[in-house]
Amino acid sequence: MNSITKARLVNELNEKELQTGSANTHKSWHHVYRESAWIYVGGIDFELTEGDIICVFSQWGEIVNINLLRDKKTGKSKGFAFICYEDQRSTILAVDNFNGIKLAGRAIRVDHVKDYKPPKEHEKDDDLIKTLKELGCAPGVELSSSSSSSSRRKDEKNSTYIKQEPKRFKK
Amino acid sequence: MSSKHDAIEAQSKAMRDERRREDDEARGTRFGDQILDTDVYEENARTGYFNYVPGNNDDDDEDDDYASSLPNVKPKAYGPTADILQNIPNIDRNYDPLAEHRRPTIADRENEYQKKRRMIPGRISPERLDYFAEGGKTPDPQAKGRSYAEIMGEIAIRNAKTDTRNQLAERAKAAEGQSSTTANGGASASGEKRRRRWDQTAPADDNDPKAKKIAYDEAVTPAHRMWDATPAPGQSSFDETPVASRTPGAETPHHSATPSNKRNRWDETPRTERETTNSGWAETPKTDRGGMDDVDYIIRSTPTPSTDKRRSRWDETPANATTNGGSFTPVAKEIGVASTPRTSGSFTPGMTPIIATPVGTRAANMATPTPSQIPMTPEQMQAYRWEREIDERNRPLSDEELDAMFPPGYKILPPPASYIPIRTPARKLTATPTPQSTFSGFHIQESAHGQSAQSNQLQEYQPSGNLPLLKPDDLQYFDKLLQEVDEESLTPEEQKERKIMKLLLKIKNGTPPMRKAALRQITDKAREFGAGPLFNQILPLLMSPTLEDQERHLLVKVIDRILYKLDDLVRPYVHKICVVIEPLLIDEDYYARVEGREIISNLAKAAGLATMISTMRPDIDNLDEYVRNTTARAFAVVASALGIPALLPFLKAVCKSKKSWQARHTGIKIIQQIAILLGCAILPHLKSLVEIIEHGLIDEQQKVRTITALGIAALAEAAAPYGIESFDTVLKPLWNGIKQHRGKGLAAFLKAIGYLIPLMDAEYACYYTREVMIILIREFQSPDEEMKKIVLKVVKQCTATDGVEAKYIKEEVLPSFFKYFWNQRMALDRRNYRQLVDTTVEMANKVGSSEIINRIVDDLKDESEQYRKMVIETIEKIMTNLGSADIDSRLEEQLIDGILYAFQEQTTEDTVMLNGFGAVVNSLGKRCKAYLPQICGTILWRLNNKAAKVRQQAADLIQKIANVMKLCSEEKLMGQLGLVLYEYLGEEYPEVLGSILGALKGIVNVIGMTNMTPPIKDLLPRLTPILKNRHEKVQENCIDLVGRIAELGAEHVPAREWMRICFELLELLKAHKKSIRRAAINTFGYIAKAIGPHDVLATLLNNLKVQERQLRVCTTVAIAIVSETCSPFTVLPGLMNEYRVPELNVQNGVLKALAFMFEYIGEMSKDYIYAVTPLLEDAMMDRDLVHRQTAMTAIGHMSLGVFGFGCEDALCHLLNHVWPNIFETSPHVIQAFISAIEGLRVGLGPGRVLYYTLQGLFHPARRVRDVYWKVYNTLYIGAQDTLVTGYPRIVDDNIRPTIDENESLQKRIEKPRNDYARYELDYII
Repeated sequence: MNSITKARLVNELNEKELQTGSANTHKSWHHVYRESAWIYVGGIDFELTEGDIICVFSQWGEIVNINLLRDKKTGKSKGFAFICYEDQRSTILAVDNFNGIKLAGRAIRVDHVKDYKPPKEHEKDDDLIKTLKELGCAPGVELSSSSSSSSRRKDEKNSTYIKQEPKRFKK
Repeated sequence: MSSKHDAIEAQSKAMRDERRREDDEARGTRFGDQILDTDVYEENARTGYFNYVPGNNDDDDEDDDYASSLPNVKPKAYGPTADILQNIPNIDRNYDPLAEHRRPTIADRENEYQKKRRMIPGRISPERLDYFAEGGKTPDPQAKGRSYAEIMGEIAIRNAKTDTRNQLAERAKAAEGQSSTTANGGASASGEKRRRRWDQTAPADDNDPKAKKIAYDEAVTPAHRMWDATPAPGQSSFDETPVASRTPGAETPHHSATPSNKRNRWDETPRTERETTNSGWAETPKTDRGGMDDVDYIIRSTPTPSTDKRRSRWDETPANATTNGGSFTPVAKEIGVASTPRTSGSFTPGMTPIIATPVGTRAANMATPTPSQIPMTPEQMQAYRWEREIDERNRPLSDEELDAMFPPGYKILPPPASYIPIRTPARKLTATPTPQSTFSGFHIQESAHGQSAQSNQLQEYQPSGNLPLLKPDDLQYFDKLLQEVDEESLTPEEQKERKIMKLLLKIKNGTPPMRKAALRQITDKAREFGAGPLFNQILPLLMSPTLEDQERHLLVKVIDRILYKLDDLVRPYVHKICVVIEPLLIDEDYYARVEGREIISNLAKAAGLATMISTMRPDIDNLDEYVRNTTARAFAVVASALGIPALLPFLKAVCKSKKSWQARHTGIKIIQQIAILLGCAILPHLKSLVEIIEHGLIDEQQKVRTITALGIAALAEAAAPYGIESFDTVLKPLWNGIKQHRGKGLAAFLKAIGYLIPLMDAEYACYYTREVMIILIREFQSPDEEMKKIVLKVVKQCTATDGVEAKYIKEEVLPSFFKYFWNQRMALDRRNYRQLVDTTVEMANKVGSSEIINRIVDDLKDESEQYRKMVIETIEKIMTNLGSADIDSRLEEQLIDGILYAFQEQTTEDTVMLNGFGAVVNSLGKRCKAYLPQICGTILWRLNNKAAKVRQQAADLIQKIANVMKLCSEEKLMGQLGLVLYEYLGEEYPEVLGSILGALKGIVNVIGMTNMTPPIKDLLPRLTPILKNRHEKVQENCIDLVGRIAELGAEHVPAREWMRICFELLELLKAHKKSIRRAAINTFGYIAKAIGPHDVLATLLNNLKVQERQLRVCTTVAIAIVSETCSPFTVLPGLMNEYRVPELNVQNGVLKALAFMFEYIGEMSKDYIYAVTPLLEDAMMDRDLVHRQTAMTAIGHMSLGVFGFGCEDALCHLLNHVWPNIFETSPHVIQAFISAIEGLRVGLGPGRVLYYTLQGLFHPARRVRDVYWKVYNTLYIGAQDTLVTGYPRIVDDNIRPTIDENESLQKRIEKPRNDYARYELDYII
């Protein structure tokens, strides 16, 4: 099954939901991933950097963390990434709208991630990298705004994503 | 085209206005000028009006050809003008009102991957050398066609080129990286370096700007492109891609001196060219677009008008055309519009250069470069067709048409003498036959000349000579048929081409008889036409983007037929055909795949293994994955056609290829496909197949490892449950593999193991399962779709083995299994849904039903309906498998509660819920008693629902649970339900009515006739009118119910009612559905039994007079049934009496009824044989064939029935009547004769029939002998041993009384002697 087929399968899920009218409700398959604000993006052009990807994907919401997998030695992109949004609902938008589109000539695949595992510690990691891995790359959210954003998400119970809420990062 | 036309119109209007003003003043020719009533009308109210009548019969001698050329313009000059169109809001000119009724083309439904074949230019490859053409001789190197060596050479060059280019690009990128260029440039350059993924548009190798700019700067030599080689005579745009190598850029030397690293001369061309607007090159930048994916590049090339899809006003103004004067360009551009700018990248190389400068091969091959040869995209075609149709409808009526419409007595008035028709340059412009008014500039001349009198424009597409209409899409292939030519004047080749074209058009567009005849003709003449001309026309048609399913089917059929005829002549074209047919192998339509396989297998049989291998070998390591994929599938088909052993050595070599991993990958894929295609037929070769691919498991390329594992999985699946010993060698590498690999590779390895486990014996299976389960559980959480599917499959296979204990599954597997798999997402995807249900059911078989149901029963109230359905289906399957013994009372309660909830909450009523509910209730049986009132309440409520589907489902449910209700002795409840259903018999939706009848039937079945409420005597009269209903479901259920009542409770209903039903039943004998007819016939039997045969028989016999054959046939069957149920003696007299009616149909009907009767009554026939013999005797002497035929069938059945009852005398008499029919020719009669003879063989014994046969076995006339031998053969097959006694005795030669012993001795030596008599048999015979 190649990646295009996989992308197509996800789009078919959406089609089916639209037909049955269960889109945008608790019946939706997106609901399975309600506790994770991470998405997976595959099939990215190797030349795109974290910045590029954030540019493209931030149209569905504020991005708080990104992990573009790179070759350990050469630092070359492996063509897939994990992105964490500030608001979990952004993931639904991203999956619905970006799955299967062409980005820089390659069809990309976007899907939810149920349990995101942060990359392992590496002995060469300096503090910066460590903090990045831990807290993400976004400018932190003020306490007041974060409380407002969590009140916005009142319906989301015990969101594990709260744990990954970025704090102000000063270096 | 039309917008251009509109622009002309607008301008002409402006000019007209101006002119009018001048003219009015100068000549004073206006009419109606003086009568303007200024009281009523404003002063200038009429300035917008025309104040003259346009006409063309003027006597102005300004130009004579004006009038004569006017008819040519007609269609396009009319219709709404530009300003009208502009005022209509939101007019979408591409909107097709018939779009939803249009049959979709194949191209429409192809996905991006499948579309690839259209993007690969030149893939219909030229002919190849046939090595076997001259027997064993060494082929002539000068021969037509390319040899294997050449092709391999070309490919080597191509690959080397790509490599070099990649290296150069890399080097360039490295250099670029040092000078820190923009990210964009870097991105595009390194994009090149990577091997292309299939979803990226292929940069057409030779015009790759990146490569050109460095290595090929001075190269003006793109001459060795493989397409240039041989454009075959049947021209099409596929045979060659002429333009790319001729792009002007390559030939403009003044640019080659700019070897800047970043910008290449390709990029710059457009700009310079815009300066030279009037040259023939004006539009050329378009040509470069083929396969350019580079954003950068496109941006720079867009400014030229022609690349823009939406044309600017620029090229629409006629002024442009006039200022350009004699320049050819605008016209050419206009033609380009006719075939409209196309989207497909590879074909964009536009027409302009073709029109302007036919050079090179194209010019050489084509006398007149027709623009129509470039295919339109389907949308454009559609738009064009639509536009054309509108124009056609809105065209002004011609004189002839008006003549036809009006009654006689009208005459054409001359225009007023003062009237002066306008004469503006703009008008003239539209009057001249510009190409804009037709599909292309080339055709209008012929078509318009011939048909200026007939105004029907569509006739343009009607080729002469009884040919079907051309569709606009066909024009590019069949345009030659539109030209009237004298066939005699053509060269033989051209004649042949035309002939083929005609036949193909008939096959493609013709009526079925036309098509059939053409198909036969093309098959018969295939060798005469020759393979080349045939395929050169058929194959481009098959690649057409506007092809529909039916058309493709027909063309494929043509290929199939001619392949048989052409046989080895096909060899040079094998690759051509493969290229066109291979995509069928990956079509989504099953029948297309089957057709594709059939063609390729026939091709393999015709061309032979050697040719197939040498043709397809080069594609095996093609860099394009698509080509390799289709080639692998085609090879598998070849293997199935020619046998696996023949291909084994080749496959072995390919799979071991050291040169490229692609070859190894394809080789292994071939084996995988063979396994899928052939199934268990691989068993004899299993060992060698596994040996060939086993080394792939440890290949260094991940893709090869993956496909090897998949191949082994396919082999194991095909071989199951045998052949584990062949897989011994791969177990270890597989085992190591699943421990090493991750992701995709792991999935494939797991799949292989999963398919191998069911092959192993229990002990091994145990061991492996336990080990592999650990990995499977780990992979439960994989988000990868493929992994999920494979894991589910393998888990199912593992749980099915004995190796895993229930405890292990319960404790280790189930928790995470339910956690990761049982979610809404899995329910949405159809295939995951299936697989998940199957796996869960398999687990339930292991751990027991309650364990699983306990876990999912709460999900019956899940929010997602799809998910609930999955739960219900699982529960249904588990409970049908395992019963309900395992389910405790609490679970039982939960279950019923959940199912009732799910049943009531469903929004789309389908069978899943219904079956689930039925299965659960039936499985619980008596334990349901407590819940039945509640269930019935739900049902009653739903029976009353507004939605028809809900009512239907409720009724269906009653039918399903009726048994259980009886079991729980809830007769009272059933009675209630019966009454309610009875009330609802007035239901108007036939589907629902059918279900209600079914429910009633269910209740009647279990409750019995006497206890039924409403009583049968009330129920049946309500059913009689329903029998008239035409809906099949209603008919079937109703007749079933009536039949059941007639069978069990006929006494409850008066005979008169039954007679009425009999009449209704006659109608049902006509039903299309066999089960309805059968039920009706059986019901006749029951009714006849209940009320006596006489009345029923009278009805039936009357029915024999009707016209309809099927009705008569069914009536005869019914008569036979009646006579069987009521004994023949009650029926036979009446039946035989009916034979006296001097009417063909009736007599035949009687005979047929006799035939069926004797078939049904069997041995009882002995009592009636003497009674019917005179009748049969009479029938056998009738002149009418059918009489004899039917009588023979009757005799056959009868003699089978009376075997052993001593009726030989009658049978022998009948045989004497049957025998003369041996010379009949009608197949039905022959069949009846043979069946009679077979019956008589049994009834009379084969010896007797043999004697009848012997007289003709050695008849001098062949046709006599043939049929006698046929009879003999049937005798021989049926009673070989018994015949021995019947053989005539031929005296041995030496027994002949001889005078001289010596003479006889001498004779014995001289000639072979007959001494076959077996005297020992005399003792027993």
